[in-house]
Amino acid sequence: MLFPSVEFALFFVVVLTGSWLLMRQRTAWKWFALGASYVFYGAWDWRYLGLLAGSSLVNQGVARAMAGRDDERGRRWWLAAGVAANLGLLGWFKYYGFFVVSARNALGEFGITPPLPLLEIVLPVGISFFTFQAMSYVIDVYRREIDVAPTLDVFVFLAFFPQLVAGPIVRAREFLPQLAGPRDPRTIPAVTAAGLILGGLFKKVVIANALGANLVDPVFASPGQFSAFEVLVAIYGYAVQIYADFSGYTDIAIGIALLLGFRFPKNFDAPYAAISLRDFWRRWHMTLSRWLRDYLYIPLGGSAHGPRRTAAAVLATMVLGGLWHGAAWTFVIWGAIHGFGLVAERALGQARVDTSAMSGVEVTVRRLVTFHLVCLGWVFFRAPSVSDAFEILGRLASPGAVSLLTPAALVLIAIGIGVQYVPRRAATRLELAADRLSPVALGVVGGLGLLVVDALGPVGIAPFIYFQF
Amino acid sequence: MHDETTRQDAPIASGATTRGKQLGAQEPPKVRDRSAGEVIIAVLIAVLLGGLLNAQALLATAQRQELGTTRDAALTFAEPLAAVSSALWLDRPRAAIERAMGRGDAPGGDDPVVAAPDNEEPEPNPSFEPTPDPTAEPDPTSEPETEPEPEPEPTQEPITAENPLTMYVGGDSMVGQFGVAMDDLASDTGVIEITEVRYEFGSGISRPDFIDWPAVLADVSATQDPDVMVLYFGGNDAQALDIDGTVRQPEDAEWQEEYRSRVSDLMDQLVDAGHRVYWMGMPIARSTDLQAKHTMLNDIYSSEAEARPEVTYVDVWDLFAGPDGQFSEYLPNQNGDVVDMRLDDGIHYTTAGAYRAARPAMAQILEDHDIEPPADE
Repeated sequence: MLFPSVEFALFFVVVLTGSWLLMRQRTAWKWFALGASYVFYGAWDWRYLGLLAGSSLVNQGVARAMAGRDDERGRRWWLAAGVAANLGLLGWFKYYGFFVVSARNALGEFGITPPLPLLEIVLPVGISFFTFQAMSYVIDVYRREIDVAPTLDVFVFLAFFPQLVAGPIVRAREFLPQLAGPRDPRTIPAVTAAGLILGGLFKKVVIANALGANLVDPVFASPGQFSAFEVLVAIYGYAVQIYADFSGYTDIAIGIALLLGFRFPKNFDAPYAAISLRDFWRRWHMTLSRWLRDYLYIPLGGSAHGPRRTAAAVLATMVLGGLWHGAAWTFVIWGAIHGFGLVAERALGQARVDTSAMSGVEVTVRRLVTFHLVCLGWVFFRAPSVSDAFEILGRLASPGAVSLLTPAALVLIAIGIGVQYVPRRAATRLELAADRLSPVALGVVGGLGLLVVDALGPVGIAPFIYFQF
Repeated sequence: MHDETTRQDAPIASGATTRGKQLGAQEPPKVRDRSAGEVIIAVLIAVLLGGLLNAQALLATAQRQELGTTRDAALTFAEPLAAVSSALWLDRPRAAIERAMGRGDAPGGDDPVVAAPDNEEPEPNPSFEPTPDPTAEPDPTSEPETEPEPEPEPTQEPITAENPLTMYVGGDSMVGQFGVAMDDLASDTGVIEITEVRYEFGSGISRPDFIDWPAVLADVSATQDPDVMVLYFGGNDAQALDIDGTVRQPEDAEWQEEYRSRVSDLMDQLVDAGHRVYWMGMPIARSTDLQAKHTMLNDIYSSEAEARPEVTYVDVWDLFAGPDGQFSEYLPNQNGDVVDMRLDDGIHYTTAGAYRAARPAMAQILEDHDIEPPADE
């Protein structure tokens, strides 16, 4: 069930109403939320409901086993078992094919065929997200940062439909306390939620889909047919497309959660206004960044053991973060570009995040350099293969006629980047203006928003890019 | 545990500690909180009004679904909504927007829908020279199995860059990646000019009420008049049809007779318009149920093509089967590296799969028109 669909609109009306009607009956509400979330997930493929339920059960079993022990060794053993189970699940569904194909192609060079069958494994939607959330629960229990939650709460946490399939990656210690008591039915920031939902729909349905279909897909599929300028604009177009697609999805998710009374962490904060790669990662997919920081980078040593160890930890974190996005060498290289970039920035003392002491020119230059480094990474992220990525980069040196670009595409790219430079106070002013509206007027604005989004968008909705990760 | 100093020093993602509390960061100050009742009223109005303003598009979406209970339920909801919308003139704003955007009257509009991103294809290890997998099936570049070909249509003048062979590629969502591959392979020849690649999700020959492909292609004949038409249908066609008031399933003889007649009429239309037609067959699918349906469709396509010298059926079924003759997601590419050929649905092509299907089609076109294959092919 996609957010921009009639099915979801009707589903949400029912869930929103039922959720607030049941709010005072905590257990009934949890069963209702779990049932609704399983309906949402089962609409993709009901066979994977067992996987989601099994993951919830195993992680809760590990957490309980850990909580019942006082000896550190035993707790660590259970932690290892829990992490291994989660990574094993992810590995089987996400990386088995990549591993076997890579092994076969590498060993095939020597005439060896490894005895590993190529299986038809279909990647369950959202598995990377709910597995990471499950790991956050087990690790936080191990670290004694949270207590073991009731089993039903854990099931609701891992299945909660707004963030289930593509984030934001909400940590157990953020979500479970919100389940402990009823949400207050008098304190819903409806205008903020409406802005997030309508803005997210516009970004996804209008900006991302149009750029993908009319510019990015053709150029990345056949770069040889396009001139340097077209390829360059298509790379910018992809930067905007993936931002609009992914931030659009998580904005909708955060807005829907707000209407249900939940606060989710922010996931994007004007990433293309970043003045360094370090700054970029504080603004892009923020919930993954902090997950990687807390559960991977810091356990790897972080910055506490000298520059070399720090560099190794950054590189390992970013390469593994790349692999999290997909089982392909393109993602490994994407992660490595960011990893080496972060290390180089740090070595050169350029990992700046504060613009207050900089001149306007310096900030602009830094933003341009950072944006283009990020775009270099996106080429590998989007290209079907490493050789395709190099072909695309090679085309940047091939001037020629321009036939593909349309004013509409250029306007959408300008909007996608320009919106990140809109001052926060302007957005707040807009929200305050909308805040004067009555519920009926707010509903009318919402209806008009749905008209604009649906009429401007293409027929049918392409899957969200991050569903595949 | 690591102390806060360590966290603040993290070169990535230290936003949570330096930017303040993240939870609730979406909530700006001063905006009024609303009650759940107000929120439910606003959402109900938004969904209802949004539905009325977009009612014609919703109705079109409902109509294009397969015949059955889901479609019936959708129509039960969409038809009265569209009627109310029309009576209240609430369908006019959307019509005005669509006119301003230059969209036609076709229910589906003119925009193609993007296919799923094709990053699924695993990248082969670049550090090794490729070697064909000894267990894999024969070279994918080998000629496809096609029916005996008529003599190629005599060409008036030699095909050159200045006098290119013009080609149209169209069909359902199978064309998504396939069309790009055909476009690319055509470009490599230097003498084939693509007039258009068009694909419409959910379309086919079964449902002219959604996209009327014979009418679309008649328009292509009139406006583009390509020498060659490469067509790909079948992905959505094995669905129930309403034939003379009775719903027939693809297994029924009446269904197959009706579908054959539509295919036959369309082929005649294109041949009469002077096109050389290449009709793609469906590849083997993961689902055995679909395998049976697509085999039935392919039999109709191939036998109808065989009856017309100007129509060539391009069989790609076996190209996507493993050594055991069964569906195989992973197959060797041109370099011999094993790669993912199909999307997760077990039907559509990845980029690599699209090239695997496009190469034999292009090889046949080149042979029929006496065009030298590009040196690197």
